[in-house]
Parts: sequence; structure tokens; C-alpha cells
Amino acid sequence: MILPLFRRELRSCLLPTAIITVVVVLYAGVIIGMYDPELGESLALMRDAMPELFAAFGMADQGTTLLEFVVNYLYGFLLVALPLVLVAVLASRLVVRHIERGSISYLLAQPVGRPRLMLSQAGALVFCLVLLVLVLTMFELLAAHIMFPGELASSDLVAVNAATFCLWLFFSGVCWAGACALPSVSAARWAGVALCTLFVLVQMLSGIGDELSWLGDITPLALFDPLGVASGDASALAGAVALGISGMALFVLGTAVFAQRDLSV
Amino acid sequence: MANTSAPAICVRGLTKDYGRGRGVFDVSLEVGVGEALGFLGPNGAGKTVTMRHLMGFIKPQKGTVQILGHDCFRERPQVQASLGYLPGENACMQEMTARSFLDLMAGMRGMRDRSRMLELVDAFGLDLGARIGGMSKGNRQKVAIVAAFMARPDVLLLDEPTSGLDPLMQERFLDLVAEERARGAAILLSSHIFEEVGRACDRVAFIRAGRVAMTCTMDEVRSMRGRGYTVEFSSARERSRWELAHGNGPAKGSSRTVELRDVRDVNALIRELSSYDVAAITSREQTLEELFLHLYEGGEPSGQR
Repeated sequence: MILPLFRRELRSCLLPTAIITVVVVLYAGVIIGMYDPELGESLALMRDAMPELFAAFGMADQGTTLLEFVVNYLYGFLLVALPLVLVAVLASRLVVRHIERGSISYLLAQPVGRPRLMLSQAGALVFCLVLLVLVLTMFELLAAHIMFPGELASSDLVAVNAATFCLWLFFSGVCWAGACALPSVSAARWAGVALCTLFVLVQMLSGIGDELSWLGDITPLALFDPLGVASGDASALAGAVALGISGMALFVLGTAVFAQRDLSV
Repeated sequence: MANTSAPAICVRGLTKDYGRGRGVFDVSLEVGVGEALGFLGPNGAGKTVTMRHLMGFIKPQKGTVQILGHDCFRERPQVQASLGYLPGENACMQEMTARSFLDLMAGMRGMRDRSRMLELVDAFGLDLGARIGGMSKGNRQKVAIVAAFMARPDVLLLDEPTSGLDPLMQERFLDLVAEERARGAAILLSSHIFEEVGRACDRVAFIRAGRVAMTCTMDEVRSMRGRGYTVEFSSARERSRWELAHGNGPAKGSSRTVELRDVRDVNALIRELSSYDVAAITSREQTLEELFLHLYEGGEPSGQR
């Protein structure tokens, strides 16, 4: 970690992180507030009218508990897509923009190795995601406690959010590897996020009908089972751990390629 | 400095082929401690590619590139610890103020003593509170100069260093380079401005189409550098007489002037012109392009390395 650089980059990443955090927290507040049996019935009517659409957004089953309701309506799409936007913005800001503008030449002209430089940049990205998940968890716990006291077990929500964080880490690793390794600036900026978006779209398609349900097993998102993690299911836990470790491995891989590549800046 | 007898900068047989004739081919350079080598060549000749190799930004396909005995690509942190770099393309982080940018660079170097930084800021009249993105090109260049020189490096790589600076600041910069040379820094100064290299350097390497055409001392370059003359004859007929005497066809049109390039023996020219009716004669120094042309037409100095 290069502390002066980490502090500087963290400052530059705080605004996009704050924006996504506010949006995510707003949605979380709305979804928790919607947990109401009567509204649940009307949502069930809507879901019965448009089952494919609801299934595509990971909202096939309303669930019976507050946790199941929240996971169904929030973690199926919103907490997958919005953090992916943040990850794409931060990877671009921390790596691609420096290469595109040439400011990387000043960073590389300092007596720090490329791996240390990139791991410091990666540290800023991961720190922002930690901030996001912490604020989200605290807000969800607080909102659930105020609106539905005793309905949400803190440990279950923490487990769900830890699994979600592992998914974000995976997305970050994919975007990071692309940003560090690809020689063309536009490919470096878009390849990772395009691949992750493809995973999300395939996952959405798999929910539309039985014929396409097999699609749900072919993307890494199949490893993401937050309710399984909350209930202590071993395969769900292993899936979350695999996502997290793959994400970190992709960070290391991207950084290793960056350390060896030519930089015409 | 690690070893004062070995060259501080040593490039041997460097080749990087980008295809279609682009890149550098078998480039060899040496810069000793306390020496300044000018690196002259037209745009696209391979100066910046060579600099990028020295900075460890790119890997050589062939050859070795070393600074103070360290391989520039494999041992980058050790090299950068003794290196000051002024990039050709000024790309300081535009959203930062000059102060925060320089503090970041100093922080990354682990540099606690900021006295030299403040000295340079004063010398160049830099406003530390201004945002880099809002600065003129010249002021952005001043920020880059302070960043390159503030750690008192043993080796300086300067790529088009006076780009955007006004004449007063160019003078200050050349004084700074002289100071650093006197301190013992090895300097490689890339430029396409002859006067800048002439003022700052002991030797000069000419590069063209990715190959070093020759390396020689500045004195040798000065002696090679002829003058150009524009002779205005009293009439087009008189000019035609000159052209015929020099094996050319008679002058077309009504122009009365001829351009003489690379004139070495001025006395011989004056003697010859005395038999013609000359209205005016003006002289100028040979341009860098003309000198290059001369180099590629076969003129080589005795001191070529």
C-alpha cells in the first residue's frame, strides 16, 4: 500500500461511491418499507400477471420472512447491477484514466514497483466496496429494527451481505483484470463490465422460462445464493467463498500482467 | 551514486520494432556522471521510445538498457529512486492543485525534506495553490520541472523540457540544468531544438528513423554547422549567369535571388560573388533539418563514436 496515493485516490473515488450508496440505501429503505402483507398480496397479483418479468429480475418468490422478501426484491438485481456500475466507474478511474491521460507516467516514475502501485489502487476500490456494504448493512438493520422490530435476524442479514460482497469482489476482479491487462484503452474500460453485464443478462434470461433455466447454471452468478448462505447451506457458502477468491485471484492476475506489459505513455 | 567509473546511463543495441519502420533499431548511448547528452532528432525519430525504455515503461526486444548499473525494466524501483523524469507529454493530474500534486509525488518518494521543492517553486514563480487543469501549458511544464528535479536525482531524463516555457523561464531552466550537471547529475536531454541542446549539453546524439546517426561533441557539431545565404542579384539575367556557372540551367521567371545552403568557406563565396552584380546578401545559421540533411549526405566528424 502506498499511503499518500491511497488517500488521494480514495478521495477521488468517494463521490461515485457516495452516489451509488445513497441510491442503494434509498432502494433498501423502500423495499423494507414495502414489507407489508397487504401490499405483498398486490405484488403477488402483479407477479402472477407478469411472472416472466418478475422472474427475470430475480423476484420469482416473495418469501415469507422479511429477509426472504428483501433478498428477493433487492439482491436479485438491484444490489447486483448498481454495485457493478460503481465497480466499472472505479476501475476506470483508478487504472484506465491514468493510462489514457498519461498521468500514469508520473506514478511509474516514483520508486515503487508496479505491483505495489496497482495493489494500492485496488485497495482504494475494495475499500469503497467495504464502505458500501457497511453503510448498507447498518442502514438495513436500522430500518428493519425501526419498521419491523424483531423481524430480521442481524446475523442472517450480515451473512447475506457478506455473500453479496463476495459477488462484488468477483465483479471487481473481472473489471480490474480487463483494465490492467488490455492494451486498448476502450477495451480496458469496457471489457470487464461488458462480461459482467453478460453474466447478469444470462442470469435474467434463465428466470424467464423452464426452457432457459439451464442458463442459470452456466455463469459465475450461479454461485451467488445469499439465502443459502444465511441458512448456513454448505454449497452456498462454498459458492460465495469461490466468488470472493476468484475475484482476488483476478486482481492478482491483472496486476501481474500490468507489471510486465509495455506502457507507451 | 553507485559506481562513478561506469556510465550512469548505458544503452546498448536497443531494438524495439513496432513495424512499418517505426521504433528504434540498434540504438547505443552512454552518458557519464556529470555529463549532459543531447538527444536530437525530428518528431517520430525514436527519442521518446528510447526515453520510455530508460524509464522502464517498455521492455526492449533486443539489447540492454541500464541506469547506474540497474536494468531499467526489471529493476524499476531501484532505478526510479535515483531518477528524475520530465515527460514529453505533460500529463500532471489536472484535477489537483500544484501543491497537492507535488506533495503526492514527494510522498510516494518518501521525501521528507521539501526545501529543494520550495526553492524550485520560487525560482520558477509557480503558484502552488492553482489547479493544474486551469494552468497554461508553460505553468504546467513548471510543475513537471519541479517534480523532476525536487529529489536531487543522480540521473535526469528530460524529454522536450522547455516546451511551453517563455524565454525567461527557458533561461532559468538551462541554468538549472547547468547547476545539476555541476552537482554531478547525468542528464539525457531530448529535443528537436538545436539551441537548447547547444546550451545545455557536452555531447549530442543524432537519431533519425530509429537509428543513431552519430554521436559527437557540441564543438564538432558547431564546426559542422554551416551557414545559409540568400543572394539577391541585380537582375534575373545576372542570376542566370550564376546558375549557368554552377552547372544549372538558366533561371526561369523573373526571380533575382538564390538560396545557398551549407556554405563553409565564406571567403571563397565573397570572392566568387565579386564578379557578379549583387544587390544584397543575407546570412542565417543552418537549420537543424539542413544539418541532418548534410549528415545523411555523408559528412561525418572525426569524433564519431
